[in-house]
Amino acid sequence: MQLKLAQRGFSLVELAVTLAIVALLIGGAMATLSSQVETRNNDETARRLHAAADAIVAFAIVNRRLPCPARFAATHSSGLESFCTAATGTCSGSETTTVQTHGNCSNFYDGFVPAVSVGASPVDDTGFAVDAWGNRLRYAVARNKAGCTTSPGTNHVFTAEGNMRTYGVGCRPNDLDVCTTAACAARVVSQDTAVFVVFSTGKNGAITGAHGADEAENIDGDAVFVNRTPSGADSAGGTYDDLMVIVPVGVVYSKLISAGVLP
Amino acid sequence: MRLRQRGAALILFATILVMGFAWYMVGALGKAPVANSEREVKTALALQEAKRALLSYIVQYAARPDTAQPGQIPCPESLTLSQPGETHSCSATSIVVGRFPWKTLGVDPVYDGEGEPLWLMTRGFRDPPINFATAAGLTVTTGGVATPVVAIIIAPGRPRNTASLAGTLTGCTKQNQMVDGRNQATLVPANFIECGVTTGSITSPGNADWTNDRVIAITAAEWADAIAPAIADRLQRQVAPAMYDFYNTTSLASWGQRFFPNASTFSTPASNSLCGVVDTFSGMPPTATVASGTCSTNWDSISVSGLGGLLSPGACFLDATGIVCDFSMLLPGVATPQINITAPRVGYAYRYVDTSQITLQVTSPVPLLPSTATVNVLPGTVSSITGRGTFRFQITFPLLAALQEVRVRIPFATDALAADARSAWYVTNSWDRFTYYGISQAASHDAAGTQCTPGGNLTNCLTVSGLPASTPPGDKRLVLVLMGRALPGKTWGANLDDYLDPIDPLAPVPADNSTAGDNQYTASTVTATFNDRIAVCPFKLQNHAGTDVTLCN
Repeated sequence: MQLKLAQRGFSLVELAVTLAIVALLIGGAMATLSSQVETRNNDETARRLHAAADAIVAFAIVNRRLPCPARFAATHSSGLESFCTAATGTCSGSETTTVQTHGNCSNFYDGFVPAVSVGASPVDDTGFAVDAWGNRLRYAVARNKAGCTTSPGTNHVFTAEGNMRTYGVGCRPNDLDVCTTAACAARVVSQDTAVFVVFSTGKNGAITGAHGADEAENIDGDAVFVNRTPSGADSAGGTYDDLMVIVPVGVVYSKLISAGVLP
Repeated sequence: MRLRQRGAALILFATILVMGFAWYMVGALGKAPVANSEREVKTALALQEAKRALLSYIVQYAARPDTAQPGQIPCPESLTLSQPGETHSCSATSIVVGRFPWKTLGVDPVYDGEGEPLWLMTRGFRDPPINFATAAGLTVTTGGVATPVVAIIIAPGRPRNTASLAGTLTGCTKQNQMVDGRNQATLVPANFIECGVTTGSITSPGNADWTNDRVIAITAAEWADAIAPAIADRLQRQVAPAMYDFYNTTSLASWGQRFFPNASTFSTPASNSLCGVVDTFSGMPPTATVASGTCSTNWDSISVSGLGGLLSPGACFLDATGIVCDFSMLLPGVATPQINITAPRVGYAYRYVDTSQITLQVTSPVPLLPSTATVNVLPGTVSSITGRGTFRFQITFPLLAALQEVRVRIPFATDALAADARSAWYVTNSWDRFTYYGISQAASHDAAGTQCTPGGNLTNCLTVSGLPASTPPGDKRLVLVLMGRALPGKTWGANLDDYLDPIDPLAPVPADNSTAGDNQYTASTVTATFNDRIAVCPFKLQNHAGTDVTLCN
């Protein structure tokens, strides 16, 4: 009888109060932890983006050209550069991972960091560099050029080996347009400046339908990109959590000059 | 009753305490204050990133074929905050301070460890001439050593209140920076930067009582080393082709002979006359633009023939811009006189006759406005001995009545390099004073039996080793050497090897350019002991397909 009394346990009221307090505390802690994890993921993704940009410039020093984007479309390039077999024009059904000296990428604006070609890491099981959320890092490189002292005609300058030297450091890109909104009401950097961009589609990158208009602009395959501060769904451009590194052509030239590759 | 109080409340209390502590710790971790050292590190990284971006922009801007002042330093943002991140037109000579123009440079906004946008201070490097000798107008003093710098990037740090400090510190302002609205409307630099705003002279690190600014500067040497490759690229792609076109086309059209003008005898470049000299085929470029004195190529004699009984020649006289001749019609008709006009030193200068500037004006009885004359240029000549040139042309007058009077004006020969958009920047910014110039005698006006025909007889061509495999070394008619800034241990004096670099066995191609008159030059990778950069004609590179791309014939 005494034993039974010793094992009475807690009253329902006691348990309820305790559980309520514990739930409140865990909830608060989880919210803070979640915020910290997001901050860490953002920082880690930014670090990976800068590392990928550095790897791309290092590739340019060694190969005297910028790499073409990797593709996960008609032909899966497994983290390798994806070229078009045709020397000029838009690629249609003729993508290849075999390096083409003409530098005509299968798609200049709608691709991924060619992690295997440039040595970026970490990569997923298909060879693509990924951000902290496991989404593939995207990469776009300038196709068009302007202002070259020596006219390149229809030849590609930035992605064809040796052509940056042949046609001169006066050449500058004139297609990548990094704006603050999808409608490009204002530019993030001056035109004729960015020779490539590397970006992450953020935490919501893999969630179908989660992209706002500004995020959608970054993956629509054209040369216009949006880089702005993060926002929720109620902002003008919709949800935005993409992270982007913009590399101006002067930085690439300077590093190639320092390495003795140019002029 | 005692059995009901076995310690459950204590366990509950302990659980709550532990959870509370854990919750506090997690929260505190998320909001942990950043240590000063971390802020300093972030500031240092931001300054370095900004410096890289600024230098990269200066290089690419200098390399553009349409940049009139290569080496120009971008202006900071406007203080009115009208265009964040974009450069704004600024004074060519004053100290200019504004926020760092990240947008123009093509980078993200750059902030210091306190989250403040970086600032940029510049002075000069806006108007020509901009070259290796352009004086840096700002100063950064570190460890007691003052270094001239061309730009200073400033991390302003937290706002400070120095208004109540005792005494004064040179260049520093007593200012309470903790004012409302300091980031609104028009920025006041003194609300962000404590010292150097008006003097352009900053000590780093400064007196901690007065300033918490952190700075990084671009020295004149860093600037020069950065833009030298861009200048060399433009020498090869613009100036050398412009000189070649003078040789191939312009000189032939005006003077009846293809030639590169002779060089000016080498002497201290800053004071060299830049006048070509007889029998001199290497030295300073003959690019003097003076229209009188020892470099003059102004007309000094004229003769007229082919008057055909229609015309009576009048007086010819020189004025400030050319030679003027008056004619009178004896009979009605269309006269077509031939005019021979001569000028000294034509073989020693990049000068040509711009026929579009030869005008004809009916002056009597009713004066009319001058108009461009109809001119048929006849083959001219250049004396192989004196370099004197003769420009010959036939001019067609309109149908005129008897006794009408006509005036013909022939302007002095035009400076070909200044008139050519490809090379105007070169003479405007006096880069000719940093260029060594060599031509093959066979390509001068005084070939004297020498031979240099690329693809043919190369006996008297210049030889340049170390060029890409796509261009032969021994067929050069023109060599331009950009004399890099004085190497460590050297000063720019009067000797050639102060400018062109002597044998450097460490260079990838053992290099020696300082032996005058040997017609031998070396192109090599720039090292700590070799910084000559060479442009040549002919020169070609190959593109990705192995196709030759000719940069200069």
